[in-house]
Amino acid sequence: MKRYLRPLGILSGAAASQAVAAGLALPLAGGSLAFSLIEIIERITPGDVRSQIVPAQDVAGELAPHIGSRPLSGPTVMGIVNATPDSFSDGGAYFDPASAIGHAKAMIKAGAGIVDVGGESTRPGAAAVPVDEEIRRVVPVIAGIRAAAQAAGVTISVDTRNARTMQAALDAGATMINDVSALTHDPAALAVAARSQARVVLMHMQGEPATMQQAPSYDDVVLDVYDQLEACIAAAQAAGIALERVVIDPGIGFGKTVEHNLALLSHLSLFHRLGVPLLIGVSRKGFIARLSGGEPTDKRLGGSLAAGLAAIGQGAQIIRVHDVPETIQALRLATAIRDS
Amino acid sequence: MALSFIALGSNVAGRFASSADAVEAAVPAIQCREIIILSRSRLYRSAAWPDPADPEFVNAMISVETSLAPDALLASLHAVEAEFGRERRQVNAPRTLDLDIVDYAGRISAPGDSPILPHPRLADRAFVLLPLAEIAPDWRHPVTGKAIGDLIRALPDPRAAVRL
Repeated sequence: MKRYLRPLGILSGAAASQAVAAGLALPLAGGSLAFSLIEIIERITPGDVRSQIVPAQDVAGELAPHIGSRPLSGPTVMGIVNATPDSFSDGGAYFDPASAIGHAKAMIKAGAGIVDVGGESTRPGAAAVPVDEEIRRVVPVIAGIRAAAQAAGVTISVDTRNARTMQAALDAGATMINDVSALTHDPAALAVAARSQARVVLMHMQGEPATMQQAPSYDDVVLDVYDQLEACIAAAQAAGIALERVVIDPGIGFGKTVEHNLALLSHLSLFHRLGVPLLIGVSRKGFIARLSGGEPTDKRLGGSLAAGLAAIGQGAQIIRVHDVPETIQALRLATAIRDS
Repeated sequence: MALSFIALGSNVAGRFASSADAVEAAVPAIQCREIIILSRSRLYRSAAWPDPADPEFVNAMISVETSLAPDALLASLHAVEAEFGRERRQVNAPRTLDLDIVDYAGRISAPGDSPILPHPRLADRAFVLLPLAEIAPDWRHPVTGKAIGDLIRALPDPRAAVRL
């Protein structure tokens, strides 16, 4: 039997601080939110999951990880910089870093706290890219934005599964590694990450990008993803990566059905118990279109903002997005209303 | 999903403080690879084989549930071994982490298959049978059908592996 605790009854703004002061709620994950209730979820055996909702005070002794401070207090917007050839214009034969650099600089200007540079698409069905080609794509982009990022206090992240690309990106100025395989794809990745001082994003994925959407299956998706991320954090720590450097991402859309994605997004507050910042990527993902009208990727901004704000509302510290200015506008409005 | 048993062993600490720490660290490293750990034995120690002058081994057994096929499971385990700093250069050489599939859902492999299932030498090894009995007292050998208690009683020296 394993026990999981999910903060509910989430309050914000003045109500949150008043409820905390009155002993009716506890602060959530080092941010300005607070929670008043806890859903106690118990997995007795696989397939036998029970839950009950109690006042948070009833289990206050167990709640330290939900309350504690996170080094990355959010919300922070991570802008996605694709250092991949534009398949529409030139058939993918040649990659020009100039447009990616321009795109990244615009994100920095718009207020992104992190820019995430990736040279290999991990979309469902995407083929792997040779490591040398991946390095050729990401390194000039990172080098080209290094000064602008430093001046603005923006973190450069590299989105890769390959240890050699990680090392090349770190050498070029990246200080964060975002690996969809949680440092398992390349046996040398853990050691590269451990030797560096970089932050590391450990993401949950079932299967491999090429085949992950064929038949995703879980006993209980929320608890299974939680358990696996907990193990990945422990594995990273055992390899010498301090907990303070770790960020987790439940991997929306990576080996998950629409129902799996919705279950995870509605239970995000549970993941704060793992004691590290929570990164959520929902931007333009397929489940938005499947829940709406089948829109193509460039027509999913509304759903991306709605899902991103819902994640922030559960205390997620980082949201990874394509549309940085629009996301920042939405966040400013949501925060202003919340804190008024 | 297939219920499998995986033997863990270490006789070189590598970057860890001890072989016991390396075996402990292997459990989450395995689980991070979509291999669900159902139960794990305590730690045992056993003399190195074939050369008892080599450092002693620390052993353990885990039961896991996985959707991976045996060859994919073995590839994942080899990746974990590589992560822990073992290069598969020499059979029986000292290693920071050694992972073997002992039993994969009772499957008996066809001649020439890899990995060979169940593990061909499992019945002679106290450091496999004792931790296995701890987490699967009703386990039977897939080929001979013999109960694990009988296999342990048939060992020339059941004290060849002892609880750490």
